[in-house]
Amino acid sequence: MMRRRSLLALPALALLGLTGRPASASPIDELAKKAAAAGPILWYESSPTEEMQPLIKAFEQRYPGVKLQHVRDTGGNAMAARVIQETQGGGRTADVGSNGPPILSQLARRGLLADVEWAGLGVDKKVIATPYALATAATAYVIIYNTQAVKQADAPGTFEALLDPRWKSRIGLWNRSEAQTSIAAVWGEAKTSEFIGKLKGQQPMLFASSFPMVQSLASGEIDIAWGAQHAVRPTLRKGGPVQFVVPDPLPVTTIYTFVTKAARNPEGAQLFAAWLTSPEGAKAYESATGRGNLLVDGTDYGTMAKGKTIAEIPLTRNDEYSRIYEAYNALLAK
Amino acid sequence: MSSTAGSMPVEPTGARLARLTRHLPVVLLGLVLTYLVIVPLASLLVSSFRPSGFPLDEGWSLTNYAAGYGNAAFYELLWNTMLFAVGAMSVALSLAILLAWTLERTDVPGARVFRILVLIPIAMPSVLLALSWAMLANPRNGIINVLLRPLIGEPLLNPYSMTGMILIQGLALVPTSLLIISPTLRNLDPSLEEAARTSGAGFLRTVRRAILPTLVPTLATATIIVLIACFVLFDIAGALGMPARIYVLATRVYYLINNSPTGAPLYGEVSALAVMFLAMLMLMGWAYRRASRESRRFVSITGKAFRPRVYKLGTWRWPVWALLVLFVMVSLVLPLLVLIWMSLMPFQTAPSLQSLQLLTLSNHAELLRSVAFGKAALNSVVVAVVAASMTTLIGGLVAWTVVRTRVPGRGLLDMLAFMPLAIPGVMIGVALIYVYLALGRLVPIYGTIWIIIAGYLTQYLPYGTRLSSNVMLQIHPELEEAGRASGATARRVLLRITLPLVLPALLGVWVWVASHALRELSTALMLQGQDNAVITTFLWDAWAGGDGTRSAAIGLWLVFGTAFLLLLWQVVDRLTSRISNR
Repeated sequence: MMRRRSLLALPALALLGLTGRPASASPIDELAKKAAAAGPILWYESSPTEEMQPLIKAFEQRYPGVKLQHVRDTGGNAMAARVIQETQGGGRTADVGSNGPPILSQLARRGLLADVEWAGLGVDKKVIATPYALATAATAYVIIYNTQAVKQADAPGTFEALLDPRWKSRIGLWNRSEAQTSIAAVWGEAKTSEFIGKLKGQQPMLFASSFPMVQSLASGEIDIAWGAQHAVRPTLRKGGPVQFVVPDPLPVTTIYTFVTKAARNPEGAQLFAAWLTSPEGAKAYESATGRGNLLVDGTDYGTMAKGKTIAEIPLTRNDEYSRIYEAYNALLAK
Repeated sequence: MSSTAGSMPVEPTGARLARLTRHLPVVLLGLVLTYLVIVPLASLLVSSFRPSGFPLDEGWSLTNYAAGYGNAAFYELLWNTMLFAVGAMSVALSLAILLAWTLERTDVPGARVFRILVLIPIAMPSVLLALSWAMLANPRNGIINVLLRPLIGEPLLNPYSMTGMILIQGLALVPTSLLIISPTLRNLDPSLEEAARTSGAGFLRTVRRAILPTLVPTLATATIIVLIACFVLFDIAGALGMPARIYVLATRVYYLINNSPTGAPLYGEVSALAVMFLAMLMLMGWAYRRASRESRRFVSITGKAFRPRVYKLGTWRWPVWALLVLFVMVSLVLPLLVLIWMSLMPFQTAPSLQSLQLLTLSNHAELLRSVAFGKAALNSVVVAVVAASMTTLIGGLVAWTVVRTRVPGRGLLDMLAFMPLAIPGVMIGVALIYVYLALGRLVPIYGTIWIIIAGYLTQYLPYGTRLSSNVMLQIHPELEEAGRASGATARRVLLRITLPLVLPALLGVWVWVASHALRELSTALMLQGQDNAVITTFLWDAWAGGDGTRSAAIGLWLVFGTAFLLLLWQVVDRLTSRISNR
């Protein structure tokens, strides 16, 4: 079965020039040639630039002559603000960017994103969300626990288990309700609202981001957290006492990659976005950031989510997403 | 019209030129301030009336004001904020007054060392200070609570409470308040105190009748600066209030910028809220000017030589010394020890004997090997030195013009220089991005360290101006009048008389701006480009990337750097004092 899937994937890989064999004058080759002549591709993304170096190296090796420059987005809504202001001010802005649905919707509403004929570039249809957005990774929200305070067997395996009285005053939550908003896609709004109300009865601590929350978890200030899976990675890598459980349903937020209309290297932007959706690109991104693509075979994220119901409100229903997100944010904050 | 003109006496060209030349510095200063202040201010006001909040978008609307002020939650936030701000200000000012008095006017042992130690916390990034206190005092496994648990059972301290937030924010603002208050106390003319005591007044009456009136402008400055800071600063209120759902206006601003579901910062609502800060500031500015006018009667640096009166503490010398040690322990040593501990750990972990086996120097070793860290450190030093020097120069000139001259428009200059205090750093950033993108090739500083310097210049100008004004208000005009009467030009009077007298205070301004520029984050993040990383953005990278212990190591180097700066300042301060006493 696995072998058959790999063979089926070959034509697409050949189009992307990723098989290692020379492909004759494919659209990708044309893009690569133009991209190399247009100077560095400017990529806005939220990970530390130092951690992106292996990915940059892999991409530049795949397409010799093409240069990629990573600019770290400072999080929150900063990327949209930056692209809007730089475009309005007539300055250099991102050629290509990666971010979540609200940022893309804001930029798309303003007509700042370029529509691309992705299928013609050999991009797998599964990852083409809209003509201006390719799904290139995802953030999965899991249950994280301190291994010194909670035995593996006792760790809550479902979100409902978080309501057990023994976890009272021991839970941490991100103050942004991205996870809860996504889970509403499976549970429905009413059930999720009720759940958040009960969860608040557990007196959770709120954190501005999953990363400091995991740090507090490692230090023993809290024992359980509901947060982004990739936030566990830095502490886990250094031997910290943290582990996570992948619940079912699994709430996720997809990270999309877009090309801007103001791009100075639009060919390079398309080339890079398309490469990110290839197995090589997806693995490089997952290795650098800890966030994988659920729609690309062979990623750790794909393995992690196998057999789970994925909970997410799709990009095309962003107005609904925004409404629920704001209501749940307020609910958590009260 | 022509007949009227014809009947007026014609001013000779030479006199007109002389008048113009006399006013030229003020005009130039006005232009500089217009550029530094009016541009962000206009951007803020325009943004508050744009439906989207982006100044260059289309449309006008009052929706941001309606969204900002038109709900019950706002008034709850305002009440919380008032409580937090007034509480933290009271803690900061009362401690700073006591410390300034003890260190400048008494014979407490070790005053010179304490003067440096009490200022070092200025270097600690607020987010790390909040984290240190969370580790020291959180109810679950905070070290202090764990140690006290066998004695009192229940946790004694809780930083995740309004009281905790007030105390920690108050402590964090003591060094700033001290830098404002100390120079004035140091320069107090003892003849006022002696006159009061000669006429039979006791200590408290002397303080009330002779000392407090002299301190009014200084205390007003400290009150305004600290109060506004408590309204707009996010780090401590966010890090300690948010986990317990205690919100203030700064948390709301943070939410509007970072977490709004629209996918873009709600600059319009932020600006509309900032307009309230502006109104508060103008009201306080008006009160300040009234207070300053009153205090002109109490100038303390006159033509007569004097040495500030030193009060003998007698048997209280060592108890007061012990209290100072206690203050240094709480405000510096304990948070610093936590920072050191964290920097030596691979991941965040509570201090314990068991954790000792995890000790590692890897965070520091990696930093010292990192080319990016070296570059960021160099950028930080350049930014701090240039921003501090320019702010001190412009702030000093504005203060001199306002306090020592009678040129028309000086009140406007004063007001302009004060305004940025109420403009959130992020909105200064928004304006600068547009300005320097528009100036493009003419002033190509977008994405460089120079745009950060421009941001800091605007942000710190109110401090530079106000701190310089306080000292200039204390100098009796008779010194400059004597200089002019002896035939010295205005420039010579400024350089030979005024400048040497205010130099120690200007050095204080320089140090204050440099220390704050070294640890500032939000404007630097907003203006971050490809080649202008500074230490705090580097620290933020580690923090936001989940490497809290690495960010502690960076914070520690920042504290050491600033401590060195403070030490250098004390040395220079002593040297300049000796030279001016000769």
